[in-house]
Amino acid sequence: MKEREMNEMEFNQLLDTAARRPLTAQEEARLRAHLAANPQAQPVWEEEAGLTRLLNRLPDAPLASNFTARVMRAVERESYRRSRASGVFRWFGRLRPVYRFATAGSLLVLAALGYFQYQAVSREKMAASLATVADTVGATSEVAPLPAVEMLKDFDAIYLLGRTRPQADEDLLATLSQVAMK
Amino acid sequence: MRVTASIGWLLGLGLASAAGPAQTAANADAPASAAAVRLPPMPKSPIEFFRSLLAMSPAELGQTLAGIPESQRVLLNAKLEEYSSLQPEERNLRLRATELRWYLRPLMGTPATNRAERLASIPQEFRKDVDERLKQWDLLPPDLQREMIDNEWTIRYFLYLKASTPAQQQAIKQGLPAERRERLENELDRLRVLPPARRQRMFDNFEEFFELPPREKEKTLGTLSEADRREMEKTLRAFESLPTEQRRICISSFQRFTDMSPEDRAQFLKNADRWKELTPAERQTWRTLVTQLPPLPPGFGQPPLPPPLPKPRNSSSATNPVQ
Repeated sequence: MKEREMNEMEFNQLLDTAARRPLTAQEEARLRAHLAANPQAQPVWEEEAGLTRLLNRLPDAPLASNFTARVMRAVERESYRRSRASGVFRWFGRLRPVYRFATAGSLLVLAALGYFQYQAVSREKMAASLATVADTVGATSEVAPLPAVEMLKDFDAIYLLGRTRPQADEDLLATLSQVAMK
Repeated sequence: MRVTASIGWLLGLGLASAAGPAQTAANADAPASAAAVRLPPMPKSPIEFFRSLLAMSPAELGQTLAGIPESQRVLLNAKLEEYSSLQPEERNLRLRATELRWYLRPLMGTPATNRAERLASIPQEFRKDVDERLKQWDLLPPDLQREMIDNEWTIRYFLYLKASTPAQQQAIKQGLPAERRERLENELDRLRVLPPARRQRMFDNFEEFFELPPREKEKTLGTLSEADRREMEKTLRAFESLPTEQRRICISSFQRFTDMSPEDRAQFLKNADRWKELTPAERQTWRTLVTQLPPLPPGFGQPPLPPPLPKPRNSSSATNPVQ
């Protein structure tokens, strides 16, 4: 059983070898012995040998002059991309636990500082807006006859009140009517 | 010749005035559903006569007014002096506004079905103005028309002819204390010089402040100096006390106030002066009316309205709440 497996494996190796180079005399002898003992392997051998002959007749495809360099660069790029992403984690993983905690803690402190800084800036901006708008409202109150908020509550009504200003001279009409009646 | 024509005017006016006011009073209460009634043509405006008096020489004027009783002559002379002293633009505006009132007001109390003939007898130069205003007036519900007739001053909304003349605007501006006016304009300039997006962000920030939790408010105010905080304390308290929706309306109104021209702003402050003088009942009437008044069509000479309020964030009305 073991002998038979060996022979099959050896036969497959001989097929591979025959595709790459001519067999040595010793290899050819072993092949013949195998084919004699296993006639069902004969068509397999003939098919492989025919295919190898056809391939050997094909001309070689022309390659770019920098083909090798391009392949090498592509390989380097890919390996750099992989190593960069995992480099930080690999570095972090290689640290001793105490340093790992220290690094994570530092990152957390930095994030918290960033957040507090952002909040402080936001508060300052809001306070500046408050001061500007409130000062302007205050200045309006000083000029207006009413507290600004009271005036703003009735903004539309006050605005349109301007259209009820007496423009027609009703006294004049009354005077002229009196004159005309006499 | 001019004197004879003026005397003819007086006679004509006598007849017209005798019919005019009586007719106006009768029409004011006429129900809208009254059947079409033939009314006499519109009496001629007495302003034309007044204009002719203004154009007369002192001798002609003396001759024309000679037949008028002393008490009325004094009144008329006072009016002639008043109008002679006005700038031509202002004089014309007042006389035109008075003439418009003469033609329009009686028709506001006349059922629409009875107006056509009288409208046709109005001089061409006033007919379009009168007709357009009557169309707006007719859009109002009868209850509202009655309320406006009961509060005669509100009817002036429809009689409004033109924004103030430049001379009037100048007078309004000068009516405000110069120093305070200057401070207000300087403060407003601080906002106006900002790009619109940034200015909007400032108002948004101002609005958002009142929605912050108390502790956050304190922290925000803590970034300001004690003096700044004291200065704005009163304003912040006033806004703080408002319900959210009303505060939003007030902030939006303030934005509109800052966007006004200095002349419109001065006029607005003058209006606020008048608002202060109104009784609570009159204020309430006007608040109710302004939510229902139709916008006057373009060409009525009114100043442009400030941009409308943005839509409220929730579904409640954007109009000022009635108090």
